[in-house]
Amino acid sequence: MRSEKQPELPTSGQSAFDRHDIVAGILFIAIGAAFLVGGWSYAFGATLNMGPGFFPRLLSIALLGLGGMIALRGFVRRVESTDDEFAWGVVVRVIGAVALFAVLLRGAGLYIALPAALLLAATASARFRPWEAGALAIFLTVCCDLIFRRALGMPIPALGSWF
Amino acid sequence: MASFADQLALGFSAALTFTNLGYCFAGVLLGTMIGVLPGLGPVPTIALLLPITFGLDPISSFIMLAGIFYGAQYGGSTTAILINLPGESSSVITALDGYRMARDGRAGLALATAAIGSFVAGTIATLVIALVAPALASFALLFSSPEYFSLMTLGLVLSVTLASGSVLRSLAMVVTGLLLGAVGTDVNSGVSRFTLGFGELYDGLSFVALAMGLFGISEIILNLQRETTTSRATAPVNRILPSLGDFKRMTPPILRGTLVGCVLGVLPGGGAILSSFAAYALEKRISKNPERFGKGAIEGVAGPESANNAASQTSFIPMLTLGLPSNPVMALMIGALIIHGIQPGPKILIEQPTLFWGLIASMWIGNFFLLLLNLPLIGIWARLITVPYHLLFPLIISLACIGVYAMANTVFDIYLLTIFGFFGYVFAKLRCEPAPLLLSFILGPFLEEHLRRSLLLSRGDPMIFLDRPISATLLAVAAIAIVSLVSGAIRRGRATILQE
Repeated sequence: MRSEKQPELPTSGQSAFDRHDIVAGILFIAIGAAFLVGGWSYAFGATLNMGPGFFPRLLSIALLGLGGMIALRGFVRRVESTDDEFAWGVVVRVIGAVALFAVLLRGAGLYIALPAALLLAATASARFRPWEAGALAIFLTVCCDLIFRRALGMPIPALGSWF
Repeated sequence: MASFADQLALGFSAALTFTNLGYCFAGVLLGTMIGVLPGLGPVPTIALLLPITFGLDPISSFIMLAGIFYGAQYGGSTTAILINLPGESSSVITALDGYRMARDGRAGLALATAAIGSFVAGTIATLVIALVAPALASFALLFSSPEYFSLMTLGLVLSVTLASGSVLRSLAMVVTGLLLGAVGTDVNSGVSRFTLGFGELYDGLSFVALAMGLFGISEIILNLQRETTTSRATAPVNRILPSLGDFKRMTPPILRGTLVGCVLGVLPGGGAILSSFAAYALEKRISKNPERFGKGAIEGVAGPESANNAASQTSFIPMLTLGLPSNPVMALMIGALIIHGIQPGPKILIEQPTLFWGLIASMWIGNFFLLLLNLPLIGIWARLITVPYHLLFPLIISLACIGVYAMANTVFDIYLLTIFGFFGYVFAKLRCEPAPLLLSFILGPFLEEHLRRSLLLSRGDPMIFLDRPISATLLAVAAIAIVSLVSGAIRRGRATILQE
């Protein structure tokens, strides 16, 4: 059990709460709570005759417990604080690209949804160059069209319902 | 019960059709390719191809998907050796000595060793499956619901113990996966659980979207965050064929690695990564000059590469015989079985013998293809490595979007992909392992069903799990695993292996 201060602390950070544990703990508590609340109305039943709420309720309570333990451990454990950043820029662009595809697919069709999504995603890279990304987006759309829509016959709209 | 020879003959007759040879070849080729390419692994690839295999014959689908999986182990070692960048996490260890060999101008030898080791290991492992699986399956036919429940619980616990990272977090991931698996219509009561009124969720969350989001999209975000603008120079590859002396030196490690891989591959959560680490540690420990390791010892390539290939094949055993996935790829394979309307479990050997033996036969054929493919095509793989990531990841995104959509023709699943991709990244940042979540997601409905049936059998008495000997044994092993986890023993052991 550490009592005195260590003379040589690493230069990158001082002793701090374990942020990962705390956030992870809270996340699991949230998930557990969500399932607990969401499944509250399902019949619990008894062990002889398990209702639809039996398994989920037990699991959500377990998850609440686990999340609590993890969060608690985050407060108790001292770790070196690292600068581990959450790459919001990349996240927004990549996730946004997939979401954009979802939004545009039915209405605008593959020919518009995919290049738009790929262009947005491409901006997430540090090595983004507009013309290169545009050419790649078109190339990939053509390939996907040939392979998935035509060769494999998947029912993907080429140009969607807005046209 | 047909004789072993008859069953093998059945298998080969299925695997040697022109079509299935083609699918086998396509699978291992694709597998090697994604093993070489950074940021793209067997999990997202197989997840993406699942909707496409829906229209195919189940045997052909499995032959191809399996080929992708063990092919990826080959491909990953190529990049590990040539540019010290393992394409697959199981090739991390190969890079230690393999890259040094490449730097010393012995890249060809390293690659050849990896290929030969993998081939020998794959061949032996396939034989092991052929011998062990039927025995295990007949044993498992004695199982009924309590045993299955305990077995699956043990499987999930083991996947936690052998996963890296915090135990508590992996446990929480398991429970989260079980909860996610509960989304959808409850078969027994007809109640639709957690569907929030979305009709698209009546059949549960799309596991392609889950797998792709957790493993594929999050990987993309992580890679882009770590992106560097330096290009990667590959070491030149010249002499490929090993000398007689080389053969003599690589044979014992190959055999030892195969043994390690065969055993560890069966364990849930174990698999290729653990096997390659363990094989390396073994070689180093029994070597007469351990200081050679890390400086280009051929044993440091032969052992781990054999181990990871053997493990990737024997990991099929629990999936095929017990319906228990030992790693995320096997979880996807179970998903594939379900898509084709095949119930996972020991009955597969009885009800679908052609599928089982055809798959085994094709594994041997696939290993053969890989040996042929890898050495001549080294040049192409080396070129492929230099593909810049910022040109690659749009391809992955396109495939993800279209693949997920194709599964059920609903845009809803693409939105699920965004959610799971986001949370996949969050989990990765919080150092929560995604693999236990995927395993428990697939197993969840089965687990609940077996729990329900067991309690019905016992008229509500939960002691049934302890009253029955097999079930009690399984639960005892699970308890031991958890206890030894808490005492940190396993973690210390793994840490020492990692350090070496």
